[in-house]
Amino acid sequence: MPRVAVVKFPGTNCDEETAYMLREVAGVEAHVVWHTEYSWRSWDATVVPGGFSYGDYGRAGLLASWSPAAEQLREAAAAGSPILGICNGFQVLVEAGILPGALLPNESGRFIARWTRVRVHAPRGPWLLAAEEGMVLEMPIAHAEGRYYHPDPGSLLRDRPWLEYLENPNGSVANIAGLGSQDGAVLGLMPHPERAAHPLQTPRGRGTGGRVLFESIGAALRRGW
Amino acid sequence: MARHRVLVMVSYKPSARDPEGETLAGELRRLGYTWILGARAGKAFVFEVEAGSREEAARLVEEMARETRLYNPAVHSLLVIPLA
Repeated sequence: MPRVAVVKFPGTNCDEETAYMLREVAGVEAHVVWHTEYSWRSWDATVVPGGFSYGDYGRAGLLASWSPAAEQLREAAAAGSPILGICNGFQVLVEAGILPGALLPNESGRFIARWTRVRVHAPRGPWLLAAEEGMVLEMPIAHAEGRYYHPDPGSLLRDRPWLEYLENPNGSVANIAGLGSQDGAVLGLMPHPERAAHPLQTPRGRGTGGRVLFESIGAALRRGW
Repeated sequence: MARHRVLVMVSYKPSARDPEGETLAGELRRLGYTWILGARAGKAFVFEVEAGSREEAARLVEEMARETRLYNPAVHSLLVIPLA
């Protein structure tokens, strides 16, 4: 059975539900791994889950990017090993230089927790294997620093998978909710797929938009992508 | 009267614990920056001020910070630096 690491930093708080959905929906073996113990070669894929690593001191994701796990993640990304960063995990991947750009405080100046809809563009790679172009996914967000910024979003988005907010909640440039590496092996997103992967988690009228990411990684690790 | 810029930093007094500063300093020392003896985190503001001189601009801002309790003198220390 494929083995997936869920990397935990001090202050990470979405690790257990992320591991749960990896087991239940992706059908893989998932373990929560303390950041100092994490070695990418021991795993078939890695998820950096949500939370508040190091209390968001300095900037969200900054201190986690100083952890030895960040060097492991950079090596894993360079080797093409699948990495998913959710919310704070996306912030960590950006601060570690694995994904481009920056995540700034929300335009409203507030913490925002609500359901969003995102459209899938150019799906490819192990995390979006089962997704289709133009598919709309419903997932909740919960963040204070989720306003994606890049100086040249036009050329950035030309050749990589990305997710677009239908209703931009935080002022992200080009409505970017998440984006991948060019081959899609690395994906970062602000919405929480692990909070929208089972009907029991969704309020009336909302869909299980996160499910496709877990189904994708399960299928990808079993059959390739 | 001219336009001046004044930097204000509100940080914790040495008597108050500052987890953010302590964590930052500890992590940087662990990375090898062992010459870092400590760090204090805080909040910085740059005010654009109309005043006759840099010194007057700094004095006006410091008075404002006291009157409005931009910092809480019970726990915070205030650093006021005129920039230009």
